[in-house]
Amino acid sequence: MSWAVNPNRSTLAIFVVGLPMVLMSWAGYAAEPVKLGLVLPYSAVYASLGNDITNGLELALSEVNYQVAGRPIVVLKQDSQVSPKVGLQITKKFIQQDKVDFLVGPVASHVANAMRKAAHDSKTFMIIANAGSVVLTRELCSPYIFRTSFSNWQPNYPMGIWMAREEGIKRVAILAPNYAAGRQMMEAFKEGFLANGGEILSEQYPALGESDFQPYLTNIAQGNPEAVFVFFSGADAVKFVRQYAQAGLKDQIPLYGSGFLVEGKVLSAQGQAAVGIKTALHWADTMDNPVSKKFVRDYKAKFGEIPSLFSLQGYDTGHMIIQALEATGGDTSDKMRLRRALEDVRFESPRGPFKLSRSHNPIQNIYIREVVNAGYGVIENQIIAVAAEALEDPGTGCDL
Amino acid sequence: MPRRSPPNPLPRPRHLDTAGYILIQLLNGVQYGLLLFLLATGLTLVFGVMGIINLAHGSFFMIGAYLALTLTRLGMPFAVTIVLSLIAAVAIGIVTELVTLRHIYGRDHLDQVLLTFGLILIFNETVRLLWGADIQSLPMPEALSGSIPLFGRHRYPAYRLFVTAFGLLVGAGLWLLINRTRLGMIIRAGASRRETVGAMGININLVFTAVFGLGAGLAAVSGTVAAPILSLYPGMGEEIIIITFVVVVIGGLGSLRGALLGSLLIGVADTFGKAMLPELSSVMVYVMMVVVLLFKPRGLFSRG
Amino acid sequence: MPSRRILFYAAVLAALGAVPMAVGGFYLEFTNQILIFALFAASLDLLAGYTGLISLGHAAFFGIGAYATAILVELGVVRLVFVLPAAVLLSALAAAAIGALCIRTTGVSFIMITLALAQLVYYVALNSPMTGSTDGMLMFQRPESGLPGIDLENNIHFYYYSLLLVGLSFGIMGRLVSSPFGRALQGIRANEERMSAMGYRAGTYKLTVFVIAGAFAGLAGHLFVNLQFFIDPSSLQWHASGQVLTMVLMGGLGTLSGPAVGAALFIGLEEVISSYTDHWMLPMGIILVLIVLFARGGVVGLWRGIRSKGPWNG
Repeated sequence: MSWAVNPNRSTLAIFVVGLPMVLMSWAGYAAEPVKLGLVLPYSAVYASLGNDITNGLELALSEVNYQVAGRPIVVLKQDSQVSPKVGLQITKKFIQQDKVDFLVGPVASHVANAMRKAAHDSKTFMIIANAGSVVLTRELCSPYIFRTSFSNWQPNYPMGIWMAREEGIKRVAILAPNYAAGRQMMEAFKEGFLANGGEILSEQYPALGESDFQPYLTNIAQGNPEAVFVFFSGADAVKFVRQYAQAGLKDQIPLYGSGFLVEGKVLSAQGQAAVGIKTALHWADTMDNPVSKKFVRDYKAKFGEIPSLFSLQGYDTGHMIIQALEATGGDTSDKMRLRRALEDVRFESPRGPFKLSRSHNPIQNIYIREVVNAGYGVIENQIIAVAAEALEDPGTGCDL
Repeated sequence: MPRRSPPNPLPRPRHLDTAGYILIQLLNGVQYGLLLFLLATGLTLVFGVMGIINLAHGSFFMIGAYLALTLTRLGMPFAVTIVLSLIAAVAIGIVTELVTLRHIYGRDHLDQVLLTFGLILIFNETVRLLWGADIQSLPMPEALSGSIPLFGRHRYPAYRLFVTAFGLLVGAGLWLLINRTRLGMIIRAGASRRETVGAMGININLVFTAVFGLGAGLAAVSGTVAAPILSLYPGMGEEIIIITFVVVVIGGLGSLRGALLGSLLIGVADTFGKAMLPELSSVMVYVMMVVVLLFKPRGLFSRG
Repeated sequence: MPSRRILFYAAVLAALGAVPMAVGGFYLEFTNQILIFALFAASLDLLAGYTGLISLGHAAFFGIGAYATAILVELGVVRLVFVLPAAVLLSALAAAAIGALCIRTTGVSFIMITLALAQLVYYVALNSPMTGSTDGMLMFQRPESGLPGIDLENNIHFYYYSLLLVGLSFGIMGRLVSSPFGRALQGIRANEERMSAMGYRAGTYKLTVFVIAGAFAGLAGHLFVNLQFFIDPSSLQWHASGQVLTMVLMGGLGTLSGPAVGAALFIGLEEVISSYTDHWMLPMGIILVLIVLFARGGVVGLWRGIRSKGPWNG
């Protein structure tokens, strides 16, 4: 095995995005590049999420020509395959071999959990651009771990309050896949909903990857709730929403959900079946503010498609890193200083004002979006209300 | 570590139309069972005749769905889509048999397992290269997209009634094929006594190729028919195929009758499991399989 | 011959023992991972290669060993003298229960029932309150060795701990397969009816080897969770079982060195291919198919074939 014999020769392909910038740096002043190591999925079902985050990040970096405070920024990436084992292996390689300054990723919470110790122990900053597991900014929070996305609690808690108060819905059936994120999201919804006089008629937790929801839908019809609240994502979201419509329930019982239910490419696969669904999330690509409009326009110009929520999270990750580096004058060696700089990051994000909580999770607005037919065959999420302003995850159990 | 909430209460029927509710769930179960049956027939046929265990059977399910996606986008009506994707999948199956499986007959099951495991990787990745990794969906044929009122408040998706009818039709067609045609006779002979077929002067290799093509076609057709209900992504066949393995093991490997009864048994049991004890439904089919194998190690309808 | 073989193994052990002096960090952990999967694959070869029992659910025991370790540590049982035997014992017990069911069947039914029962274990890991569901379980520390000067938190110490256990396991498995018991297993593989007629109780032999293989897989799982500080249900899925079976085949069935070589080859290939392309599954699948079609004996078979002037060990 060449692995053991040639420790110094890395045979691994690396995508050096910032290379032109290295060449353009001043003669005689060869600044050490800042390295970002992306641990994201580029294969299998989550590939589009990994690509969207990467694109968003690169859009933000290209705005500053891959250069901050005189230092070029280099992006390294390798496919995590959404596998904790592979993700951890790449993380360790990035930390020990490539000596990256920031880890960016991952998409899935189990991969984030696997990476946590390696990042924390080596004092490498890890910017989570999606994984929403609540523990990462609660019990398992770390001085070196930041999140630019959301916690699973965030969109669902205010949705519970909003449905009970503003929609006047008191009796709902809830459904989510039987796994950690599904449970966390439903708990958050119940917390808000029950405290405001709501009643949960039934809770159903189908297996992750369930292909036939018909028995669950029959149960819902039988219970006759005022509304249904669900969380599904990816392939499950497409299956559930279509089967819900096919069963004729769409016109009988309104469907509410966590925003991931009808986001990005999932929404285009659902098509008409999704129209009318109301969900809560921290952004929608139709948001009417100048920052968001610029982001959508630039992204479309660069990549030829409308950005998804994941693109936004990648974009904000880029901004956060850039701003922190500017604050330290490009210094990444003083970990404490860089940590403070990251904690103090504040900017106007497409989603609204962005800043971090004490436990390193974004404090952000949660919007209610409704899927509508926008004409010309376009189906999109439009914002109909603000469920919560500057909402902060409780960060229970984190003492930073 | 996140902690579980206490088990949720069962969704209780609030009204007195319990009989209607049970009948609907029964219909759900039969319909799901018939979908499993479409998949199980191909698997059990290939095993019964060729002695091959095809882990990549789910890949043909996926191929059927993706072929239907392309054909629908080309503007084909659904009926034409079913026929064309069947033909294309049979062709892919035949090529697969000629290029790979042909060379490992007579080797032990391990080679079959690993070869077909390799095929899964190849098919998944090829589908990703051709159609992309994004989740996609096949639109439902317009005529079948509505729902029909049944038992009071309940409505039933028209398309699922079509799937039920289609499953029964294919089952009947297969029965005729096997019991009333020359190919069927050869298949029956090949399954029970391979040497007899050779002695009859029939080219057994040709029979194997045909049967594998038929199996691939059956899997693909079930993929095509299931696609409007499911979502399409590379590897989409892998969840349902494991349940199909359970079906054929419970029914007895190689037995078509076993495949039918195993499918209905699992379909109905799984549906009621989901409806009544959703937490346990994912393990229930496996527990059932264990119970059956405890009493009948060769399945309910094994031959010999 | 035996002395040459012992020399060879001593050389391999010495080389592996020298690894921490040559490399550190990533490559040390990479080598450690290969050691663990070599043990995992070899334990499966006891079943698949030596006895002809093709299990498509071997990852279940690997997972049980890993989860047992993580859960015990989380519960505050951190002494290695408890954790290690408990992890191995629990895997062995699970293998006894599952094996007792599986060996009632043969052939394809055996493959299917191992697959289904492993899925059962997978769903338990996915749904039980102890295991953290899909998020997996984090370990905050490795077990304490209880010996002065040996701190498993130190990656080099942990490497030697892995090497010791893996080396011992290979030693035991080597003795096992050349013992009368091992020869009986190979007899069962060749012709079970004949062995039964000779008075061997094939069922007892099969169950015994199933339990032994499960115990070694559990040991590999114990090491794996300690290496990663993390375990989640994806390590128990049937794809994981398929992968380890692939390792066995790549290296060569029915040998102990084969699975070890296969594990190194598989993990190395996966790492190299996936760093060049996101479509790593395609070349892996093609390699697998080609090996089945043309190089049945795997790498070790090829090597032996070349030495005996026949390139294909079909």
